[in-house]
Amino acid sequence: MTGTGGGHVGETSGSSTHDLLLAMAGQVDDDLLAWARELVAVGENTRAIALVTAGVTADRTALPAPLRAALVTAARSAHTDLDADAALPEAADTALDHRFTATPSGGDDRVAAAVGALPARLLDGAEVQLAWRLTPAGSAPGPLPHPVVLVHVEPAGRPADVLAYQLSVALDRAGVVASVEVLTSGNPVSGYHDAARQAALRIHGAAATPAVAPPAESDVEAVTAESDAAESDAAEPPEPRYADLWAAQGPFTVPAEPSEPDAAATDPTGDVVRDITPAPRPVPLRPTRDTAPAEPEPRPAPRPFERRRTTVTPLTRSSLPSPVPLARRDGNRLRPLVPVTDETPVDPGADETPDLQRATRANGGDAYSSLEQGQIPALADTPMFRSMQDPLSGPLNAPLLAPLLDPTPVEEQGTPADEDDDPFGLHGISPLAPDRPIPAPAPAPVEDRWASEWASGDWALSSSGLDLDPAPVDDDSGPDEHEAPRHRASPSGPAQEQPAAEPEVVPPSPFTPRPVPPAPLAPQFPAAQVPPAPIAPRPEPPASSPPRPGPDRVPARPPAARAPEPAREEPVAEGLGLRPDSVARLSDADRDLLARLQAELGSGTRPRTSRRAGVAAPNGSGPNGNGPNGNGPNGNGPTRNGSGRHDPPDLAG
Amino acid sequence: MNAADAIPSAEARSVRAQAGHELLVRLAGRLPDELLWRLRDWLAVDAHSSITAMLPRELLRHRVALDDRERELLVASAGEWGASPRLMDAVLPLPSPDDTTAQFRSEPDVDQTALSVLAVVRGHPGCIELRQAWRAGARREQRVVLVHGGERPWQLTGTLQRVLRAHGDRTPCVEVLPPHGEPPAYHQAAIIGSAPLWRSPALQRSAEAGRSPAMAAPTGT
Repeated sequence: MTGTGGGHVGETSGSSTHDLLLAMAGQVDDDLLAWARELVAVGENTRAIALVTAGVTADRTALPAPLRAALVTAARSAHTDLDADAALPEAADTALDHRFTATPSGGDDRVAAAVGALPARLLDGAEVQLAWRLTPAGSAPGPLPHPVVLVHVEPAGRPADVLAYQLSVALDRAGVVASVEVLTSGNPVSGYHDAARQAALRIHGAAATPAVAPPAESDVEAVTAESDAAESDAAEPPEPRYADLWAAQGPFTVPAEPSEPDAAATDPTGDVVRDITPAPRPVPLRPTRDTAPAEPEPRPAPRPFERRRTTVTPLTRSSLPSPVPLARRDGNRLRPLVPVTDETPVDPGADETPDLQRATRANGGDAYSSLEQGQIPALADTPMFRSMQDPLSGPLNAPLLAPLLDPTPVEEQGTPADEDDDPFGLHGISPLAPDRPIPAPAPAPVEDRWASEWASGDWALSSSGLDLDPAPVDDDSGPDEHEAPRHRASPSGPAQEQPAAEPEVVPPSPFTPRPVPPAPLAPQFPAAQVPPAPIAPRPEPPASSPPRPGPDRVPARPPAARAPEPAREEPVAEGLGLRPDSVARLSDADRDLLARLQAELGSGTRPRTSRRAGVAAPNGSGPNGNGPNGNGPNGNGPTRNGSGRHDPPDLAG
Repeated sequence: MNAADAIPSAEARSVRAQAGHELLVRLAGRLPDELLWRLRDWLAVDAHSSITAMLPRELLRHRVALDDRERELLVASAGEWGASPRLMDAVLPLPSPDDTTAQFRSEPDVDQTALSVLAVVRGHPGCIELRQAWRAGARREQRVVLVHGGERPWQLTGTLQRVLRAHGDRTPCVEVLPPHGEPPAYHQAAIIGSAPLWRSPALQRSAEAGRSPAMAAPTGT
């Protein structure tokens, strides 16, 4: 059936079918067209027509009226099952605008190499051009750009369809996907082929038309002019084509493949490759260019890299201060990119000459200054680098120790030695009270309250007497009174020794509102207790108060302030079961001890009262001033805590 | 007649397209790839007349035999679209399902083409699994994309074919298999020799629940 049809159509039919398929170029996808041409070449015109008709119908491609009419006629002649006239879309005169370009680069010479590798007899007398189509064809196009091989043959030569088929198969076997368009000289050329021919480069042809001297710029036009001298001068400017070329170059990474000497000699693509010089691919076929003056132009490419080096170099220089102290100096967030941004605007000016660049490096002081401001490169912004660069920032700035240090005046004076006086972390752990928990972060108010009570001497009175205003005592206190000295002096032994040692050891501090030393207070308590109402007839208790060393250090309280005290003290004495006469016979030490005991019992609401009552007796008046409770088994008690800020009640009491 | 066509129009077209898709899936490995992908592409764009004009004659030209099920599918699709009954009757019968000689292998590398296919499959409703295999050929290997499930599989096939075409596959082989039923021998071999590219969470849940999907059965063999 096929043979009959084909035989009936005969040679003219195959030729006309080939011409029809030539006219279909660009209207359907290239594979369909190549398949149809293959069918035509092997004599299956009917199938070829049916295939093309079905493809155009499926794609709903609006063909030009003449082409559509020719296809309908061919389909009817081939007796296809598809009614082409009814199935094909309506004709449209809007021709597809296909754009072509020359070979993208020398690395894409694989098509030219494949053509050059074809048997000589296959291309005998034919002129071959190569163009790359930048626009898709058909509804399922392949990758772009698509190579189009234009073969110009003489009318007396071999049949065009056969040559097209053989060339297509040969290229396919060579691994090259390309469309082969065999044009017969003298026949009208479609717009598609005309556009391709204008942009094409001759890759094979007569020896008389080699591109001997590669033209400077308009290489494409020049090469085209050799074959079509009259029409190629009006070719499109190369600029947009190269832009398109670059835009569509992505999928092509064909390595350069030196072709045969014939192809290499006549290969004019060197000029095109020259224009695509930025491509870093090997271009063996490209002739060497003597465009030395253009060398500085592409030079700016590596400049950015050098700019980056200038950014990094200051960090590697020995003169660069270590980022660690900088980080410690600045505890703020590290802003790594600031040095780069600061230095970047300097570099463009330095790109002029190496000297300027060197000057920029010398001017790296900008970068240094920015680094000194705590701006560390981005690499340092990681947690690990932060911990590496600022190893001491934690101990120095740790907020956890601040509550422990704040209550002490040493902290306020900023003496770092006192901060390291407890390398074992024994702050708050007194040997006198091993089971005592670590002080709370804010013990200062409690101690202050206790100290004020202690200074006022109201602690020896009943709880109702605590509301006495300690202001007079504070006002009388000299600057030599301090809380810390009491802590240091407490382990030394009796409380009476403390007054002498305290003022010498501890510098005066304006923050110490507790001026009353313990020693003067101790004799004062009996004085405060003696005047109670039952003992009032006896003048001894008031007389016992003068021996106190207080007046020079701690002025005696105004009588007005003490007037109510005896009245409050009475129930305490009664509670102890002591009669006034027996109290009067007590020595000062005994009265001191008694007063403390009374104070402990009277101020039972304070949490430390019980502990202090148990400790104060042996420490304060007992013979074992350095006994187990004084230094403790740890041996670090009072001595270590001489400056301890948290144990004054226990030690001093 | 016009009223009858108008009422089931959408559903009837879908049924016919489904039948045509199933038939074209069954013809994988039996018709040339360069023809089969075009027939599928035409089906995806509802170019039924093109299929009607080409499919029966190509079956006859390549001496492709059809079993009863495939013949039903041919009649339900191309026959409904106006194919010549004489040509359809001329197609050789197939007594028993033919075995396949195709050989497939998997490749661990996932190229950009596969990623593009994956992007499409993940966004298509109903897709359960995506696999890829390479079929051995005389001159070069052919990529075979296997999709399990998917609504309107003929359209998904056309889309994936065009994606593959754009990536340089001149004869894309996309096999969108139905979610249920035993696949043909060709596809079973392809599944066995394929590597998974993507699985939907639904498939994983069903696998965890112990329900093996249709595609998992031949895979495990």
